[in-house]
Amino acid sequence: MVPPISLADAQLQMARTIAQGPEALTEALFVGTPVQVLRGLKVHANTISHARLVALEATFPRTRALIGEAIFNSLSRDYLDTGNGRNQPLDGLGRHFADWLQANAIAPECVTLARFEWLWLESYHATDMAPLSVSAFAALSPSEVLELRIKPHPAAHVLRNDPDIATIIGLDAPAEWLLLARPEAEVMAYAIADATASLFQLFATSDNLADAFETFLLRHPNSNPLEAMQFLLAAGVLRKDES
Amino acid sequence: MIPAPSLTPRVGIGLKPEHYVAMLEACNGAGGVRTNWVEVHPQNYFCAGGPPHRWLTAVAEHVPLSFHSTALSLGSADGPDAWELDQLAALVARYQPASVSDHLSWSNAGGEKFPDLLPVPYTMEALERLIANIDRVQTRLKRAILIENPSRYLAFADDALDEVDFLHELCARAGCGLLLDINNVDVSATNLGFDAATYLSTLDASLVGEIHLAGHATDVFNDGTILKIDDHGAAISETCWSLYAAFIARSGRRPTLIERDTNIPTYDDLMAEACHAEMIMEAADGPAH
Repeated sequence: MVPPISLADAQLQMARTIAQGPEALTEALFVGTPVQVLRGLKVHANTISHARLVALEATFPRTRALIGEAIFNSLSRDYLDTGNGRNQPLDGLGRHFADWLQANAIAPECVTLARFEWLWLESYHATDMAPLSVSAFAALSPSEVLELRIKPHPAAHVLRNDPDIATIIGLDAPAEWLLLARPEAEVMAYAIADATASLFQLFATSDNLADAFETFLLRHPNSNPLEAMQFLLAAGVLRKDES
Repeated sequence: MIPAPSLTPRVGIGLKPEHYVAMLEACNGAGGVRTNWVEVHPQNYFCAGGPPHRWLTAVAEHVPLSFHSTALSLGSADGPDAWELDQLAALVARYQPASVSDHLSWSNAGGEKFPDLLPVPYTMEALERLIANIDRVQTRLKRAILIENPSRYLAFADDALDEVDFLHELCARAGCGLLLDINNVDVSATNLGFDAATYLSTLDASLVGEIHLAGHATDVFNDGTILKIDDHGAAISETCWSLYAAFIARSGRRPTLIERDTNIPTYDDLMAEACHAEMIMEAADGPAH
């Protein structure tokens, strides 16, 4: 009598068969004719493939529209067939899609748009937190302002806008950087200048506002940090660091 | 195991983002039929924040929630998916749903996640593994969960028990309940060649904490073979309705879900199916109290 195949071996064999096709099915795992077994396996293989492709479509709707449905589908299959994202839940499948597009020499505006869409999703799903408001900042005394510890809001991201995709995402003017914010329910996108993006990034690494401004002025001697600060506060992309 | 708070034995719907506005309007008396409870896939709310949680919080203020997980991988030889369990435990703590369920299936192997409910052989080894995995989940969640019978397209050569016996043994030893998906019984019966009515008549109705009703797709091959595919993309079939009526006549009222995951109908269309199911329960067991 043939001993039963272990559960672990049965599952690895099924996983291989789903990935590689029926030729990977080396043992008599299932009952039925080869045609019946193949039909059953195809249902599972199609379900898995469909779910992954739909997840990428849902993550990158604008990239898909820009590239074209057929080419996007073909690229998505290549991305998945080379093993990308298979250890991720469906909503994490696209984490490295933009890098993969870039490595495969896809049009640069598609790469930038895919990066924008991934960050949009991260912003949409980020922790809810009240941003530091203009009025709260204005109420601080000068000494409090200088010691103020500020960090980027968890839903805020900046992205270099190169090549320019501003019009593709519905913004009026081209700019060097794109800023994503979700101070409340809706994700907002802004086109911003290099100096504004620089100040936002400095808040991630600086101890306090005074340090951030000092470094800012060294890098952008002709820019006014207060103007950039006012814009970032109004956009709701900063938070007070209470740690 | 501490028993979970259970759903009211009435009809609920599978809630999708497309239904948030209409469902909340109905709850606020602004038109439409109010649902008794809703079921969601917790995986859609594993994010830290944002609009999904704003909506779910608003929904939970009006009706009980049921969490129907799809990815714990309870049948996996590697154990349940640790990341999924962490996320689910946090969500259960946050929303305190009336019911938590997952499937008699696996979706992880060798480090890869498969977005599907893959079948488990009905062997003693698989039974022991499921009992251990379910125990781990129930201990973590501090509540009993419901396990859904699968849609099957394949039968394993090593199957040692039939599905009903396997489920009975699983529930008895793991302390879990059963989420009876009647469409899955119809799909598996057609694909594997057993009688759905016999299956349902032998199932211990006292184990059933919830029922799912759904539709399916049908492929007919040149050799005459019919393959039913559980795509949750169609209206509930006549076969499914009549199997449901027969089961409810025997079991009495049970929380019943109208389930649709693709080709999402309007809220009103879902509620029309919910009203039909409610009528079947009333005919069998009188009006809800």
